Amino acid sequence: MLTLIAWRNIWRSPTRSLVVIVAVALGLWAGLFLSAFSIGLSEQRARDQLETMVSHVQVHHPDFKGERDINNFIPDGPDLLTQVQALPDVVGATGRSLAFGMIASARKTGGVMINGIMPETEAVVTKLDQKLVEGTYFDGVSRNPILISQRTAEAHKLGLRKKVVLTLKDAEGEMVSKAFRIAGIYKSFNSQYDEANVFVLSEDLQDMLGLPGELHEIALLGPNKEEAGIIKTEVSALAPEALVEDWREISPELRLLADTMDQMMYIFIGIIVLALAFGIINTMLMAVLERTHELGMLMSVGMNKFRIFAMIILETLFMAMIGVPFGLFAAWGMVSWMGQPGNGIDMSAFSQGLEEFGMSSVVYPELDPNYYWQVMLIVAVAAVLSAIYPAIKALKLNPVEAVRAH
Amino acid sequence: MNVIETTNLHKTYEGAVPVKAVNGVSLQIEAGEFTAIVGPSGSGKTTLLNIIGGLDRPTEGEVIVGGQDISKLSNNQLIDFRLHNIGFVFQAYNLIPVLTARENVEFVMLLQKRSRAEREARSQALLEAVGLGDRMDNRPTKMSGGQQQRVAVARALAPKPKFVLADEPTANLDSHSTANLLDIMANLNRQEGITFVFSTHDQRVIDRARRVITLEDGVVVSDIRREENPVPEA
Repeated sequence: MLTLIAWRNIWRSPTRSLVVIVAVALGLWAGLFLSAFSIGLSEQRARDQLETMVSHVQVHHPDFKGERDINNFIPDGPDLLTQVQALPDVVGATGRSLAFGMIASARKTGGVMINGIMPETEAVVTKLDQKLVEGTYFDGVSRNPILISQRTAEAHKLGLRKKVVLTLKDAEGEMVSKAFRIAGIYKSFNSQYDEANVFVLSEDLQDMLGLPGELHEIALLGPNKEEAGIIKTEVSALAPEALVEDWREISPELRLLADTMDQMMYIFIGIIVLALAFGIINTMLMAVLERTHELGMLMSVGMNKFRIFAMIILETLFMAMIGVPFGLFAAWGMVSWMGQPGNGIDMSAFSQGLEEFGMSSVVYPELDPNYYWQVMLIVAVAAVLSAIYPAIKALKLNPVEAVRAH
Repeated sequence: MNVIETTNLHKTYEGAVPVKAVNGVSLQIEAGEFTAIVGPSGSGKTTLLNIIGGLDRPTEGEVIVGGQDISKLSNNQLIDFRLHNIGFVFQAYNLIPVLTARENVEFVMLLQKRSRAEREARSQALLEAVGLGDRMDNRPTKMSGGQQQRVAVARALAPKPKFVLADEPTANLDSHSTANLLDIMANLNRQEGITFVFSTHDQRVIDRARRVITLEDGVVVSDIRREENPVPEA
C-alpha cells in the first residue's frame, strides 16, 4: 500500500508533478542528444582520421620516426607487407616510401611530405581515390604522375597536367630533383594534412631515393579501431624487429579525445541531472511541507520512520522515473534517425573551422545502447538522493505539532 | 480493570516563561468507559490526551497504559505501542486523501501486518458499523465532514486498540453529524465495550459522556461519573 500511496500522491498536484516529469524528459533528451552529438563528432573524427590517414596500425623501422631518415626503411618491407595482407583480421594494408622534400612550381616553392604509394592498396586503406576533386587517380599521365591537394594547387596556382618539380635528398645524401605532372587534385577534410602531403607512385619515389622496393611505412586497417590492439600483436609477432604501433600510440590526440569523451558524456548528464535533482528536491520539499498534517497523523497512528522515509523515496522515484522513458525514447529516436546516412546534422556553415580540426561537415550522432541504461540508473540514483533531504525533513516532524499544523 | 492510569503527571513547556500545561494529574480510566475530558482552551486537556496517547512525554509522573509505563518507552517503541494499542480520532479527520474509505481503514491494519483477508473483512465490517457500507470505495474528498469522521472512527477501531482517543472529534461537524457520530461511538462502547476518551468542549459530547473529567490550568477540578447515559440517542 505504500507503493499505492506514493503513486497516488504524485497525482495530488498533477501540474507540479508534470513539471518535474517534463523537466526530466526534456533534460534527458537534451543531455543524451548532446552526448550523442559529441560522441558522433569525436567518433567521426577518429574514424575519418584513422580510416583515411592514420590507419589502425603502422609499422616502421624503430629509428625512422624520430628524424625520418630515409635509410631507416623497414627490413624486408615488401615481404612483411605480403604477410600482413594475409592476416585474417586485416581488412587492408599498404606500403609507403616517405621523404621530406620540396615542391617547386613556376610560382613558388614549399616543403612537403612526399608519399610514394601503391595506388590500389592505398585506396583500400585511406580511400585516397575518393578524395579527388579533379583529375584521375594516377591515370592519364604516362610518366611521373603526382596528386597534390587543392590547397597546394591554389597556393601554387597549379592545375591538371601542370608540371611540378620535387627535390629531395637521396639515400646517399645527394640532392635529386624530378619533374612530375599533376594527374589529380585531392581534398581531404583536414586542411593541414592537405597542405603537407603530395602523393606519387612508390616506384617513382624509390627511384629518386635510390632505394628500390624499400618501404618506410606499412599502414593497415582492421575491422574497427577497437581491435587495433589484437592486430598490433599479430603484426608484432611477424616483425619482432620493427616498430609496430596502434592508433593510440600513433595519434595521442585521438586517444585523448576517445578517452575523455566518455567522461565528457557523464559530465553533461551529471550537470543536467544535478539541475533536475534540485527541481525534484524543491518539489518534494513542497509536497512534504504541504502534507505536514497528514504525516503527523501517519506517525500518530503508528507508521514508523522507515515507512515514512520509504514512502517519500518511492514517491520521488516514481515522479522522476515517469519522465525517464519519454526522454530516453525521444533521444533514442532522434539519435537513430539522425545517425542514418543522409540524415546527419549539416554543419557546413562551420565547415572551414571543422576542417582545421580534421572533421567533416556532416555529423552523425551516435550513442552506445548501454549508455541509455546507465543514464536511467543515474536518474534513479539522483532521484533517491534528492528524496533524502525532504524525507529527513519529514522524519523530523513532531507528530503532535504536525497534527496540529494547518 | 484500569486501561489508563496516570500518577502525578506534569508537563511543562519550557520557554521564556515556562508554561505548566498539566500540573499533577492523577487519574484512572477503566475498560469500557465513555469519558470526556473537558475544560476551557489552554486547560491542558489536549496535552493530557497527547501524553496518554504516547504522542508527547510528561515532564514528570507516570503513564501506565494496559499495565505498561509508556513514559519509559523509546520513540520507536512508542510508535509501535500506538500502532497496537491506541486508536486516534482527530479534530480534522486526517484521512489519507489519496486512499478510499476502505483503504484508509485497511492502512493501519497493513502497518500491523494483518493478512489481506482479515483486513478486507474487518474494514468492511467497521465501515458498515459506522453506516458507510455503501461508501467504501469513495475517497475522502467525495465525502461530507461527518462521513469522513465516521471513517476516522472506523480507522481508529481497525487495529483493535485498547482504547480510542478522540481530540475534539465533533469540532468541525454540524449538529446532525455530531449526533450521528456520537450514536455510533456510544453503540460501539456499549455493545463492543470499546473504551473512548474524548477531549472536548462540545456540550453535545459532554452530555453523552458517562464520565466527565474537568481540567483547569492543568489540574483536575472535577471528576463526575454518571451511571446512565443522560441524553437519549438521536
